[in-house]
Amino acid sequence: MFESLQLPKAFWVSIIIGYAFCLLSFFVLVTATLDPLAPNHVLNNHATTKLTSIRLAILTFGLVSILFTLKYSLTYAKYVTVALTAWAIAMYVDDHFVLYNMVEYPEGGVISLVQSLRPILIISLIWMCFELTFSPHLTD
Amino acid sequence: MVEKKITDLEIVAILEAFSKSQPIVTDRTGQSSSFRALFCFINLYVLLFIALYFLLKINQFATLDTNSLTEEFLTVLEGRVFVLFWLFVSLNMTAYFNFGFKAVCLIILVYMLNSTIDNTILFSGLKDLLDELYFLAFMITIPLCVIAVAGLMIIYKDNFETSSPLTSVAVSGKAT
Repeated sequence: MFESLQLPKAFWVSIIIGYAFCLLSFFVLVTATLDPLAPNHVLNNHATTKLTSIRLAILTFGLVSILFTLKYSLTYAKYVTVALTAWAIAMYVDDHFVLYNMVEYPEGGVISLVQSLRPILIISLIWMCFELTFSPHLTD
Repeated sequence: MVEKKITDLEIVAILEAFSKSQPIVTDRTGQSSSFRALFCFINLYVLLFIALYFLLKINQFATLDTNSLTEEFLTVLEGRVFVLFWLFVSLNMTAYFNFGFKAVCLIILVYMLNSTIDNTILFSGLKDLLDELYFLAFMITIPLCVIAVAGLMIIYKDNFETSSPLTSVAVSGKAT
């Protein structure tokens, strides 16, 4: 389906990392149990679950959109990738500057692993942007 | 006696060249009136946002319940005001220096969209704040500000002429 685009392997590795991150986050969202003795338990539980669900839905939708737009137009695929990357970076910066004052994720276990993998996801998205923007042989 | 190195004809040519460049240099922004209107609107909006935060903080407008969610909201609002202030300082600077304006607009657009979504998710149940009319009006008009930033990015002209004809000739190496 995508043979004619001749995208480099690094691009596919990056997009697979993105999907793997989504799957891992989904697994955590379904299986994780938050500590009922933690301070602000109700607020944290409510906020983290809602935030993670909606963010995960947007991320998955964005990654699927990249694949769909790659099939039809390289230019639009580039726009979708840049928008998704910008959103992921904004989210990461916003979390560190603002939301971590309020929302506390439980430490240890798979949740910490997912949190620590967020920069890897952002690097993968940035790499996809570079591949789609600067690869010389890519044309619509 | 000092030898005259420049003729009258050349002086007239130089003066004419500078007189042509004068209107371009004085019209430094080079942008349309709709751009200026949007730019003023956004600056005013951000100033009102910062003012609203400080008024909420000192509890001037309303007697809010000091429950946990309201306190958390004010903490988040403080962080957003801080980030937004520096982003809009960058916006004004890039508009003045005509460099990287669209990139900063894109960053602000993405950041505001993200923060609006986050606020809606986290604080949709915050009744005592949303009951205040001024605050509700402010929250509802946030999409208007997002649209204004997008419009600003679209109608911005980043390749207008600011250099004088003399400079362009000198740079291109055709001056004799």
